[in-house]
Amino acid sequence: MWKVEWWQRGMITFVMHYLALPDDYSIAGWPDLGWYTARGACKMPDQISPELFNHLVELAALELTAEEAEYLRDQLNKQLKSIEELAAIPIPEGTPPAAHGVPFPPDVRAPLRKDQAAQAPEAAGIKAGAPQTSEGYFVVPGIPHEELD
Amino acid sequence: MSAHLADLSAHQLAELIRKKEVSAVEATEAALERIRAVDGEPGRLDGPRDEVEKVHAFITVSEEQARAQAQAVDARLAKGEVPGPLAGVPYTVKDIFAVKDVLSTAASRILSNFVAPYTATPVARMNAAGAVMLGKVNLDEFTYGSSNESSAYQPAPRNPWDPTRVPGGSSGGSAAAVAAGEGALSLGTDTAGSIRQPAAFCGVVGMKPTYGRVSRYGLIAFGSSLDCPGPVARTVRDAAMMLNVIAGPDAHDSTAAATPVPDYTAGLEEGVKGMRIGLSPDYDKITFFNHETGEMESQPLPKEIADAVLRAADKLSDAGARIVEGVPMAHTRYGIPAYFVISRVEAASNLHRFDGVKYGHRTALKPKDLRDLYRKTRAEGFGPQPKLRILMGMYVSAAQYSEQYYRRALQVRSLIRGDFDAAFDGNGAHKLDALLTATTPTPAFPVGDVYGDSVLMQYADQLTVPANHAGVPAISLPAGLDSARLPIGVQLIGPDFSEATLLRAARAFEAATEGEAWRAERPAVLAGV
Repeated sequence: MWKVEWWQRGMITFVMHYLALPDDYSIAGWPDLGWYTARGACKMPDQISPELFNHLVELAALELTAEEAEYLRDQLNKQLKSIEELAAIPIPEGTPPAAHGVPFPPDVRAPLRKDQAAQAPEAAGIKAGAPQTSEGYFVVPGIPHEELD
Repeated sequence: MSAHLADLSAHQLAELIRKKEVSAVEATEAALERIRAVDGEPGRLDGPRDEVEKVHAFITVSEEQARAQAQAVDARLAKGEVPGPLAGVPYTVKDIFAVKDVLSTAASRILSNFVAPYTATPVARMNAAGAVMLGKVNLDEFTYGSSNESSAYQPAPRNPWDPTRVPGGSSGGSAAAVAAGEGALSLGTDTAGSIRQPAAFCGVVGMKPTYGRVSRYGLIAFGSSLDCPGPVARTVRDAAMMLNVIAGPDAHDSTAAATPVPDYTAGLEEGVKGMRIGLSPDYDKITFFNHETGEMESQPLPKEIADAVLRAADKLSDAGARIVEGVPMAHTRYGIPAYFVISRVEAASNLHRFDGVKYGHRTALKPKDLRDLYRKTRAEGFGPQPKLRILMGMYVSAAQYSEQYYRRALQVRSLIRGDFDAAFDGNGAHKLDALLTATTPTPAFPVGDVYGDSVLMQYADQLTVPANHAGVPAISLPAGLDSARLPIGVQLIGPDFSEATLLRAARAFEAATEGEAWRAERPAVLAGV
């Protein structure tokens, strides 16, 4: 049985919001959200539903076979359960987020180099690696666009 | 004679070549002969997964370039020029580094046709030092794994001590090649343990330097705040020689530290007298999420591994070090959960550049528009591990989540860093020069045992990942063989830019165990070679 923490409620709210679902929406295996959040205890359902998963796949510019999707969604949910432990860590007030482990004080940090433009000597080699070029440009199919109101 | 040359250390080879007792071409031919004897077919797209007799360390063997490099070294020697410190020493490069005019694949289909137009800084420095590149070695796809099984290039590397087992990863090709005598050195990368874990599995030395000690220019990025290029070698001295060459500032990488590079070989033999080396109860166990119970569980390390750490502590103590027990490293267990978040966010960001437009694989299907081109290209080009990391990274960094997940993980990184700062604080309770731990919670596992379970696989890095979060340097050393004749590794972790001290302690341990029976044992693939 899972105790539902504030951040889990936040996630549920986010998922609902992300998928633009109504407040009383019910997901298979997650029958009654009101009961779930009010009681604060039930077996944790998969955090990433098939609907949310498909949305992530679209954002990630991927296409998956049904078999791949099933495997990847299962693994994602397992990984998320493992990182839930982060929420239980007592973090002292004022603990800064660390962009790097190693601090970069001035004596360690590389000095700024001069802001100088330079021609890349490998330009021809770089273009030679492209799937399709024409007159020095990369060639792609039509770029999708939407008409704005 | 030539098989013997392949087993010499880089230090020995460089001496012989400098004295012209052996030519660089002879050393290179010996390494190429060893590759032919033990490596089997190189990994290729859609290759067989069930090859279990050879090492299969390579994706590309660049024989002709290697011979040309070796001839150039010999020509310089003949003219009386002073060759570089690694002149004529054969080495391999993990195929995550760009090397000009050489296929640079990241073990992924999406880069399977990518011939790099420039050379990564650490590779350029190795070549400038006279080392001879034998080729590019295999890895987990984009370095995402701890076993090499996720490579798109099969057969994937096998453990030279037992080819039914994995070599570890992601620098598995590097560690396997060095263990089998296919080059004296290899250039690897370590994001959560990717040099140290395979080094431990294959019975070789592997060092993750301080973050920023070695330039990342030309390294195909995974976790940009965690990635560290570093040496894989058979001896501590060889690792020190290689670090001398690859370390240092680089105008192409703003995170490459300006800190001066000492001669890492200078104090190697000075021993550990007076050094304070710590043991922590928080590294005596692994903590992992049990899917059955839904709870976090802790288990002590297997006895053979725990005993190897204690034996190493005894050896260092006998050599004059002060062993400090009971050092708290309270946040060690949070290393993997925090890594699941930070590394995925960075990986997802880094993988967006692969789109079938500027380089690499492009779908042969007819996409209806640019977005369709991206989707089809990436669907074909990425294997399951990159796809998983992109999806996870996008999920945990979504605006509404980043506070709970990403920012929190970055704060946990501060707490992990705090553990190390306290342990190494010269005015603190423990005043450590280094922390001694096991490198891995198990020896090399059988191929197929863990692959597919991305959570279990990640926990193979539990004892190595804290050093990546903290950015501090760490080295894995061979410390014996278990009852199944599989290598066991121990790890020394030190404060920022303390590589010289770590290498000195590592060398003291190596010297203290030189006469032990396990040191004379050789990997199974070398039987009859």
